[in-house]
Amino acid sequence: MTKKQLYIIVGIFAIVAIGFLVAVFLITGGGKTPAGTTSTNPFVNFSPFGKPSANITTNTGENTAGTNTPTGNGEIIPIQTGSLSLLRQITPNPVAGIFPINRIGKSYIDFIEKETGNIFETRIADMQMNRLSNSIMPRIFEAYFANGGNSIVVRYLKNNSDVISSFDLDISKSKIVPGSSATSTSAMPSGRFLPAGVMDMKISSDMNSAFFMTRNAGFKDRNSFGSVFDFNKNTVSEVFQSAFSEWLPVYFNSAEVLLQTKASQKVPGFLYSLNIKTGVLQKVMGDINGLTTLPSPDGQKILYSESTKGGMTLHVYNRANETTTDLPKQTLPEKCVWTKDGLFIYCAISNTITSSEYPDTWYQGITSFSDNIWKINTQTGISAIILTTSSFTPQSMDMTHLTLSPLEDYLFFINKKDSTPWLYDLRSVGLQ
Amino acid sequence: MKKRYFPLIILLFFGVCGYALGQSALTGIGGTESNGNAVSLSVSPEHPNPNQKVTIKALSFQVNLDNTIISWSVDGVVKLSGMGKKEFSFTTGSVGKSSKIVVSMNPADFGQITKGITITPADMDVLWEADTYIPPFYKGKALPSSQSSVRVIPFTSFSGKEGYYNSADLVYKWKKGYFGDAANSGYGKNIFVFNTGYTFNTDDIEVVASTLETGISVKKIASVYIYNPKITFYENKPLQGVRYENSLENSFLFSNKEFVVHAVPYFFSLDGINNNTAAYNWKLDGKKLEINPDNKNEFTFQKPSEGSGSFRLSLDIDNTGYDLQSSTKSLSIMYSN
Repeated sequence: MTKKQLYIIVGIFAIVAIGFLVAVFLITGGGKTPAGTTSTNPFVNFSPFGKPSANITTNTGENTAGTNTPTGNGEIIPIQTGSLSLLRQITPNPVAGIFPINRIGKSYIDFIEKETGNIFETRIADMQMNRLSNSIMPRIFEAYFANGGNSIVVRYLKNNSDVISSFDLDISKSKIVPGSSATSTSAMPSGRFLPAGVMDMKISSDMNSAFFMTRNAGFKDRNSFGSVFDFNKNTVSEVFQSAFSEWLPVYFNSAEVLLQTKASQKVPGFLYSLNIKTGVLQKVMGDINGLTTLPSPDGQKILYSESTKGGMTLHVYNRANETTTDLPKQTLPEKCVWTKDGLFIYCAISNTITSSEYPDTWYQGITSFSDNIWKINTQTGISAIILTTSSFTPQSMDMTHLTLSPLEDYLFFINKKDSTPWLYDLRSVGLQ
Repeated sequence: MKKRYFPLIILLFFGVCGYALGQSALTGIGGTESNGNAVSLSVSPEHPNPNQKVTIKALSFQVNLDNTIISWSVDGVVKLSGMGKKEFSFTTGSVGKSSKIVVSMNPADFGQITKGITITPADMDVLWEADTYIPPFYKGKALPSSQSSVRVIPFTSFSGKEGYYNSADLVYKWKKGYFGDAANSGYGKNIFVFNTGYTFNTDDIEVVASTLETGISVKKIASVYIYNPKITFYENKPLQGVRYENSLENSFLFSNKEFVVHAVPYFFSLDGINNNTAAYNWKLDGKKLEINPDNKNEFTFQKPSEGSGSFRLSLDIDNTGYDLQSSTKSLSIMYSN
């Protein structure tokens, strides 16, 4: 072999080797793999450059690969790229409430943490997470988003007592808007307290007001009171008074509130309609043991369960024609969500249901479920499983707070076992 | 007056009296009749609800109804006719919708007989609630335990000329078990408060609500089952608060340095819990624990600094003043380092 030929061979090998290394560098340029996702990138573990550092978001919302630009809060929040699983955990931290929104054609999920009261927003497409508020408020038990996401009613126990405090957090002026410039300080969220001892509440369909129940002290002469809080006008007006106090508001629009009696397995339950303007109460349905309900978006259909000896049955009652459709599955309406057209429901349903006194033992946290997700046609009863959870994660889920994105392309829920939020991508699921 | 006229006068007297007394009225039911004293009507159920099957029977000691053609009509439309048709059934309408039922017959040697009644269904739901403990944010019902206080509240649907009657404008008769409660019955007495009996029994509370002037009435029975109170353990996390979503059952493995067990006394009478008079007896492996008297329902467990093992935690709650309100709960707490 001549020297010229040797130089040519070495040169070719060098070019190939450099090209290979460049290719490996570019392919492995990804972030952390989020919980519940599976990376299919085989190069990650083989890259001689080591694992890449996380991509960081700035407050401009831009993805600046390979840099560590802190946000205005001094916090680094990694994003994930690469292939995302259809089922994914939004955050490993427990949350008190979630709210899906759609902005300029993109899907986001807002949530508030139980332990800190910090408010975040995650962009679904790439799971990029932004902090909207860093105000500290620990021990939040539940939170309701309202007013287009600009208000959050946070509920917690006052001073380690049994008294429930409800605070309407107005974050419209204080939240850090994605796309805006970073600021070193942000205004503290303002708000107001609702009356002490709000037992239960329901946000209206248009999210502009809330209906809540309170009651006076004592027992023999007890009365309960239903009031409406307007988030925009900042006013509270009493619309209802009753000698009975175990009311659970399950639906609220400008015309009516649907009030359900609190449920227990062996006790006949009732659902009433309260006319907001007249204060007249009219029975919708009743004398059903263990009745729990989930009205459709227009309030005309009632998904309800009836307790049986060790389980429950599921049905849909049509208020217009007073007919009932029996559904072939067992679950509680609290584990379902209606589609906007009021035709389908997505439900978290367990393969096996341990014999117990439902819904009591589920409310008490004594029993829990291992759910899959089903889609059910409420007119025909035809159902199909759309998520077998074990195919994605060994983690058992007791799904609650099922919520659909505005375009109904994502399903969100909170796992009751650890209060973490999850999402499931419905875009791959066919219509039934 | 001549004696021979005396029997005639007596007969005439009783005849007039009999006619006057013959104007009968069943509650909620008005009457019209022609020669109707010969026939009486019974209605079952006595207090019809809306959309309910009602059966009316014709009775007579004077007319052989089996050999008589009898016709029944509802609001002027004949629904049933035939020989010996003494019984007729129909379904009531919605609340307040009256149905006029007329029975007519023409037995031999008697002449035309008609008798009518008007049935106006009313409705009533009987709701109740117990004065027992449930934790905050609990979505289920507070259940009654032995000797606990229960309030019963009827929700009535009585339709009148000017709309629905206000519940406070009706007359109520209350009965617990076999015993009527005259003291708590009467006009406007629409809330009934009682103390429950023994555990695992049922207290039947009967209420009849009726209007003052029209006599429409409805009767319902609420069966109140009496439960055992119980204790459920939850973890109280420093930043999350009490994890009411998941109870601690049988055994629990914890890895943090400190662990707070929060006990919820479900369905114990509220005054004993709120007034702090209920007795809490905590034990660890059988030894009594001293706890904060102002926070009797929590126990803080400090993990030993080395090794692994388990402890048996138990709690007895006895609601002082309530003989049968007590409960015990145990939990095995496991730890490792």
